[in-house]
Amino acid sequence: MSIKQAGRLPEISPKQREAFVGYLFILPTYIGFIIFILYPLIESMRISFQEFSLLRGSTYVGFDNYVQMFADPRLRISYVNTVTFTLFAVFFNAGVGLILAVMLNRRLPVLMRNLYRSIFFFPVLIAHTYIAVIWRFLYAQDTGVINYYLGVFGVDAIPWLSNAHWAMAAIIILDVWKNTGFAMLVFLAGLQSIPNEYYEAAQLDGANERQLFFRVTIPLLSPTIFFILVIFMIGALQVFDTIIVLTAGGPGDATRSVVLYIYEIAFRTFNMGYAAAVSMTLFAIILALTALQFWISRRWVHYE
Amino acid sequence: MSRNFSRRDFLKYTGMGSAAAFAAAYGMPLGTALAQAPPSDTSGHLVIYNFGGTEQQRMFGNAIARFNERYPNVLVEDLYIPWPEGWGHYITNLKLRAASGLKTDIIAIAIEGTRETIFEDLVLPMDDAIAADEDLAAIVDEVEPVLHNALKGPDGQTYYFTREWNNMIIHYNPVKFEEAGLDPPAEDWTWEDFLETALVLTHGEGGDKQFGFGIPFFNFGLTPWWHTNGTATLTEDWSQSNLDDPKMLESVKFVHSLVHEHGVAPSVEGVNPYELFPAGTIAMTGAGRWPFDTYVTTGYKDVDITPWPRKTAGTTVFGSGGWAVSKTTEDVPLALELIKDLAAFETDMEAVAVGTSLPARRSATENELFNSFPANAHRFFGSLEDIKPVPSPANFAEVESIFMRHMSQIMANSLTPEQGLEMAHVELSAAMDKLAERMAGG
Amino acid sequence: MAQTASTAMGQSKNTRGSGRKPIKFSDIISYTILTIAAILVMMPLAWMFSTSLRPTTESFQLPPAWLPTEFRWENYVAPFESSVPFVDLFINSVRITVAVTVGQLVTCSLAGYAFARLRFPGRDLLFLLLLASLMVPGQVTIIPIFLLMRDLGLIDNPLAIILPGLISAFGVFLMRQFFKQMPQELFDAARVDGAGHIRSFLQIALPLAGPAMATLGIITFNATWNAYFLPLIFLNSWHKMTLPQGIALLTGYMGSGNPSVVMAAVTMAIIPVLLVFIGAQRWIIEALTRSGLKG
Repeated sequence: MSIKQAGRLPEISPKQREAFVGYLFILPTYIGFIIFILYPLIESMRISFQEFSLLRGSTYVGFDNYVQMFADPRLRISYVNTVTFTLFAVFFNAGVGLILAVMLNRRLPVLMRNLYRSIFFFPVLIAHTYIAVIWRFLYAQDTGVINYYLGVFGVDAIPWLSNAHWAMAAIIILDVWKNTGFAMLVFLAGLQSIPNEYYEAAQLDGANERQLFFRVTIPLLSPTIFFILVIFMIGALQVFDTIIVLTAGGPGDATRSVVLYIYEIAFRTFNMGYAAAVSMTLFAIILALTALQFWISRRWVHYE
Repeated sequence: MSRNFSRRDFLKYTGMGSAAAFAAAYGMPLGTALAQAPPSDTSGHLVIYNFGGTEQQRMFGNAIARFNERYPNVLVEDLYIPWPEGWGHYITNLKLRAASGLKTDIIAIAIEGTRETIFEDLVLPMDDAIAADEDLAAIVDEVEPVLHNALKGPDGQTYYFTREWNNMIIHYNPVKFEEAGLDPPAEDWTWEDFLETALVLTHGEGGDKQFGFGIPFFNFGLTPWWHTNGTATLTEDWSQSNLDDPKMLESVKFVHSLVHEHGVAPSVEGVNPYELFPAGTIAMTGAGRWPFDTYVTTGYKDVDITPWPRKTAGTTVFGSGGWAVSKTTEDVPLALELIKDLAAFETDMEAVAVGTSLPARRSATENELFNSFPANAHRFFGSLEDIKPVPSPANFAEVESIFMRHMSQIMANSLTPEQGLEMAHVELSAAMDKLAERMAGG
Repeated sequence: MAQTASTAMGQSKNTRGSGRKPIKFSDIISYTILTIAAILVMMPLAWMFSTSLRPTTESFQLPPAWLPTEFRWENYVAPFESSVPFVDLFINSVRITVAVTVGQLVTCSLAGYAFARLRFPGRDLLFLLLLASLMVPGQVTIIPIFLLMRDLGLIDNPLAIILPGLISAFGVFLMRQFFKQMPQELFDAARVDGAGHIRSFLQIALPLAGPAMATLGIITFNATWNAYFLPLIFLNSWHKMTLPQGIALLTGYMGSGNPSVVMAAVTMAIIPVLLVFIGAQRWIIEALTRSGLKG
């Protein structure tokens, strides 16, 4: 299409043509983006400056909702929990996913590779609400499966869900079980699109396994690694499903994430204005962290 | 979309700007109009905002079919929200419908949500309609008064017609009792009797471990422990925190001791007693009639019911649900006709048959079907002699989350019962003050 | 270019080291680790499946029975005998999921290519702006979106789920990363051959993007198939609901529903995603076999 148009408009330079195609390609995405994301986001921002009520009229309250955050100890706890979860969840999801992908990409019987790849990805396919029953049965302190087996070996029952630290660990374990298969799949797709020639060339230079991994695999995989780190960080900072089905934020606030807290403010105390303000700050923080990741990525991500 | 809704906007959006609709909506001159049922060839479209499980769907679907026999030209749309995980979400969705001008004619909600819908003007007062319509008056008369009254507004008006209800009652496994050489619990057993019984029923190790009791660890499920000690989380009029009542502390300590001192109940986190009870891991738990549906379909028989053990009182708790006419309806008389079918005796009979909840009318339970299982099924309605509704102020969702958050810390031993209740009291008091402010400013 | 690849290439060719050396100690270690990991991952799911086949009273006993102890296939019939119109819900879910997946594959590959391979003013800013949308918690924008859908007249209409689903910042990001990873020489060569941007995209980038498209496809399909929050708010009529809503109906008040039947329904609900995944897997492998020769 652009070629035809370019033919009719010969004064368009190649640079302009490229820009035109670029805009054309992002147009469908941007139409949807503006209508279904940007506009609701701006509306949410307006709500964050209101004492919002759906049916009784909202009043503009300036920065009140934002000021309120500084005096909210529960929000602080939620942020600490969220950061803790994010650090561990990103590290283990990406780390385990990468290890599995690398192992699967080694020499393996075909059947074994396909079977294991499916198995590791399987948990991704099942919605959180469906697996809640299973995992609560695994973790229950006195009637649960894990503690039963520990008991067989004479280990005392672990308060998986009723101790603040263990509960966070339980959530991270569930999250890694559920999501690392996704990281594995993306890594595997990335690994397999590294042309063999690179390895062959390195092998000709006498590189060993480890050198191949660090000098060929990692640099060439760096865009994929970067992608996984960004996506898992953004997801972890907004963690909701994993927690609500397992501990619902408890005991107390021990595993309450910021988004879980936002949900509570919005749908239990009906304080939409405050919920929107907290969301906007969370949004700003995630945005800043992502920008930071992009900035740092220039030092270690190699695009072909 | 600056939705700064004034009442006028609201009426405009909801298509109720006309004087007639306005009058209808505010229920003023309704009396005479309502006495006359709409003719059977009336055509129209009614929307029910409904909730529940599969059996409820079937049950209310049949009620709608009966309505359609009387009014074949009325299309009834039964909007359905699966079991709401908290009423907050359900109510927000309802408010969104109202705010965006989507028509709703009939609203179903549980007691936990009634006050909020009344406060937000989502439902119509019904006293005049009931006075003018014998059928509606009969429905109110047939329902147990304690159930009907619990759904009234703070102004004493009727807004809701009772849909179904559940209490909390002890479910016990008679086989386990017999194995342990125990008699079935006496109807007036005490906390001490209960504890002794639970101790006997707790034994074994590893895979053979059996617990005497499984604590239903949610707000409604814990409430009998407060009521049987003559107290509750909120004051009698649901306006202030009552967590500083020494009797609350006593009750909470008792619940705590079941796990941590006596070991007769498994640690509560992650435990669903309605899974463990049929599995035989626990010999007793508490519930209403709702698990019986599953007991019946899975062929589980080893269960009977007995009243909650008492400390100073024999009072247990109930929660009920109701049907109201939505303020956004365009046809109040027609909506009321549909409610007559939804809240009919036939629906109650179906509730008896499916076993998820208790029917609104006692008369629906005076038959073999209801009384054959469990053996002491009469104790469900027997509990009505001494019962209180679950405290349900307009900010119910908030009250529940404040209380349970601290309660879970108490059960996890990260707070002592004293500390936990004190902290919860401070937070709950502030929330109740805020509610009072909101009510006054409304 | 990509067409020059030979499908006769054994698929093991694109994995390293194959057929060159005898089995080493490190291979044994990785087999073992992979096998243990696979067993651990599968255990909860095995329990779910075996539970779906036995009476619920036997499922919560210790030690747990990981494998089926009975074969009560009637648990699989039960969901269809309930009043939930599961067949309708299945069709609704398929319709919505297919529309969203196909839509996203188109919009995301186009935008991903543009952001990765084309130069135009404001490109990086537009990309970051788009990416920022991933960072908005959906729990709060739901109110403006509901009011918007109401203005569009889409409440209780599957389009309320489909339209916002047609685009995805995540998908654009994924595709961009893959397109960026492709060797520049490929595109230079095409340029020399006189290919325009659109032809480069269609004939070079897209055929090589198979693994990425398959990955995005399965992720989108899965996310849409399992979506609960949005359908719960936008689709309230029985016959317009999706499968997760139907399964929620089965779980019963306070989780008192029959777990065996719920597990049976969940198992059945997983099958379509699993089939798509297996199909996509094959496509990933084939695409890779073809691109194995690329330079």
